[in-house]
Amino acid sequence: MAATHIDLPQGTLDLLILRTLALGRQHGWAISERVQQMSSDVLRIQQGSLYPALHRLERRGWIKAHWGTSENNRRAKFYELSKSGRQQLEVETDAWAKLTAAVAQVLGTV
Amino acid sequence: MLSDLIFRFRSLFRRSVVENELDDELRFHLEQQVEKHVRSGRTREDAIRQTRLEFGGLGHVKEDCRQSRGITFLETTASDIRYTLRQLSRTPAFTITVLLTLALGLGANAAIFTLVNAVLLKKLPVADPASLVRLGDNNDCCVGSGNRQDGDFAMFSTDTYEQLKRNTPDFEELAAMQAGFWGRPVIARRDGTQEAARSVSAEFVSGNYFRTFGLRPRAGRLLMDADDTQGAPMTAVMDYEAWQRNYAGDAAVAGSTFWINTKPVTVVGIAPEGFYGDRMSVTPAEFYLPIEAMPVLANSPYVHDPEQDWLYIVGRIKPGVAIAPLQEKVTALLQQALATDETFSSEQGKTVLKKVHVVLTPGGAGIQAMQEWYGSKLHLLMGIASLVLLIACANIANLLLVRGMARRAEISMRAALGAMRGRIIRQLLTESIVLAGMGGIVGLAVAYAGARMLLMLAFPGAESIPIHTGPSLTVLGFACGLSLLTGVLFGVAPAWIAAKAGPIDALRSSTRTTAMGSSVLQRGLVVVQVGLSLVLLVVAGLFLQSLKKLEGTDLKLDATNRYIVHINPQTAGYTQTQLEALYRTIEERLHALPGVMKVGIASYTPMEDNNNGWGVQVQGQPFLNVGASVIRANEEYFDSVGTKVVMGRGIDVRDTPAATTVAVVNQTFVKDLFKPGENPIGRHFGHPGPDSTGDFEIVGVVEDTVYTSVRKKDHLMYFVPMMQRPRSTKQPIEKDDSLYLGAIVLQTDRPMNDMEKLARTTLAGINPNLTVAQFETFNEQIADRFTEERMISRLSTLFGG
Repeated sequence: MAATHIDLPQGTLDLLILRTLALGRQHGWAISERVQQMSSDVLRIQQGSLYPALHRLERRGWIKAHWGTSENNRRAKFYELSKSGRQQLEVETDAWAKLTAAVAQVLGTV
Repeated sequence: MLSDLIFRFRSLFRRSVVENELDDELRFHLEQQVEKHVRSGRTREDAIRQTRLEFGGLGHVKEDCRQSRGITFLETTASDIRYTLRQLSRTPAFTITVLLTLALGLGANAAIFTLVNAVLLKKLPVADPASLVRLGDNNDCCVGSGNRQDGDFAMFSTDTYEQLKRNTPDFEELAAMQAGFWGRPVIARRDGTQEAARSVSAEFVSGNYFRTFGLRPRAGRLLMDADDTQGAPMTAVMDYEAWQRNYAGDAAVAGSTFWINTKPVTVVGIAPEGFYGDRMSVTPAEFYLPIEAMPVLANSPYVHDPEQDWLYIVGRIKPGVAIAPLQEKVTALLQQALATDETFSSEQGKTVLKKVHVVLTPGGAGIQAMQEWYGSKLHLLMGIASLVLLIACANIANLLLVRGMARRAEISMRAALGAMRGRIIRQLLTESIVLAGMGGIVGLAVAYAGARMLLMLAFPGAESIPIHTGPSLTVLGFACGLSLLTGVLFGVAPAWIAAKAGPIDALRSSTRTTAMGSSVLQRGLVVVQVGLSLVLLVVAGLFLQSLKKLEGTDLKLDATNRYIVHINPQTAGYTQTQLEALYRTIEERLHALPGVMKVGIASYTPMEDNNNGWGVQVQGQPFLNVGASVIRANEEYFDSVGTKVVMGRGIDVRDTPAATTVAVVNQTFVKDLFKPGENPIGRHFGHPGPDSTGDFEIVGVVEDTVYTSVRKKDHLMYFVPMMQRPRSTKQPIEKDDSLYLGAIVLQTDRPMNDMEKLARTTLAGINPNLTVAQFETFNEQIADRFTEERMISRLSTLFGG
């Protein structure tokens, strides 16, 4: 099982978080679940590393945090995308597409 | 950007809130995850374990979050400082020792640096001080003729000044100023007021003086060339400080008339604030007067005597003028100007003239007489202070080191628990920097108190010295830099040693660390510290001993119930021919005071900073190149100061101006100029030269009473009756300044506290212009001459102990 997991490339966690939040506001645990789901359990994220990333994005103003109530009626911190976060998501998605395309091209030609 | 800042500050100041939120957030995550695993069929225990594994170290995650929030540096520092303060308050003995040591070390250095900054490094508050150049590199004073041995000129005659000014277009302006104004006060009184005439400092300067310095008047106008011409209406400029102090800045002062040395002078303006003259002085000039007013006001015969040098010269050079060729040019001009002088026209004089030269020096700090005078003293103090700082640093390094060793176990424990090495070193560094910072603050307080104290010790009785001990950025920077450097330097060593040890090693040996005790470094530090302290104590001891020795010197005088009053009959308006009557009146009136036993009148008195010397030659002997100091004195003078006559007689009523001119000499005079056993009584001497060696007949010999300074021993002196003039002199009496006697010595039969008031009223009763320039007991005057030694020995004892 462990063999199918790959470690996350540097910097992609931010992109995944932004993408996840593009679907709506979420708390940290839900984000981690969602990322896991979306990547069909292939990507392995150390759950702890999610939080420093969230705080970093919050500081940059790409996501906003509010305290709210979870599905099971618990106090939880919810994150949502800000306007600049939405722009950032586009920029990063673009950059990612270009990068993967370029890498694929290189791999294909050899 | 702003939101980022707010975010960071929220993290910093609402630390507990943010921390709690972080805890809550992570707890929520962990609980959700545990529940998820429980739902999937695990036992609760298993679920918790699995969740922990998936999540990673909670502490690490939190630290990473904090770091992500971008508050780490500020926050870590804050927490380091909090931790430090807690640690320090837990060991108050250590903290107080370190703080006191630092405060003393830094305080002493900052105090002395304040003084050095104020005295040695200060530039005149004038426009572009960098382009000012002084002609001359020595501080010869005050009026003289002839030549220094090395031909190095710094003092010039009015004539020479005018020739130099005419022939040096390289200078934008060339100003001249009185070399020795501080010893020649004037008496001044504002017209139309009831104020008493005061004896104040005044400086005679050339008309372009203020223009040369590029100054603007505070009120009215400053001196101009037109003021400095013969026959011009007499004008003066008042010093700003004096204006504030005596007239509370009264605007009407500019344009009003003052009686200066009994002559009316118009004060045309006030000098700018902060300007303290062309030099630092304990008695800055209150009035600036044009040179051409001097013959009238001060009755000074030397102003237009081409052979009498009495002026310093400072000029402002034009941009681009090179100093070296200018110096040669000025030297050549000076030689040319002096060539016509009598002194330099003889054969011998001509060879001497070739050696005459002027050295140009930077003039931005003005005439540096005081800097020269106090420079060695300040440098000695700086030396002492840096020794103190070295001791302090060694002491602190040692304390920090011992503490670092003692804390090895603690530090190893922290390292074992996962603290990063950098973090530990940082903590220890923070500790020493905080200590140094606190020490710096305390030290600064010590410094300002100390600088004030030093100033009082260094310049006793100075009323308005232009030195401010207030905070200056330089001094602040100096103190902070020093304290930080000390902190970093001695924080690094223990931190490095402690962090170098592997946690396991340290833990293993932790029980032994305290027993292991001192390292070589530590022992070395103790040795250095004790050694340096010892040096200081020895220095202190030596100074103290030399002070004791100096104070214990038999001065050959008697200071008991003696008072010294300084007056100036010249500025009070007396002509030379009126002086004898004046002196007799003074004697008579003061004798009439109950309790007064003796009234001595003399040119100057023992242990005051004054001297007047000439070359002497005994009749029938070749000139032995010997000089002697001369004092004019009345009949009771020797008794009044306690000088004993050992042979022949003192000065008495027989010695009228018309009688044979006589002199009483001191024992050194006899020892140096006569063979052992030779009887000096009845022999003649005088100024060198065939006409003058017969001028004085020796009628008595007195003990070697100490004049000028205890250090000046074996000093030839002769005393002449106050109104007798050498037979050979060609100088008319109207030009003989030496007849003006400035000191009265009163011997009373008991201590009299009201003597000063009595003396003032008695003298004012003779003539309101006869003001008292200075009043001291004889003991005070003597003690003044020991100030320097006393200060240094006190300070080094203080620091060494």
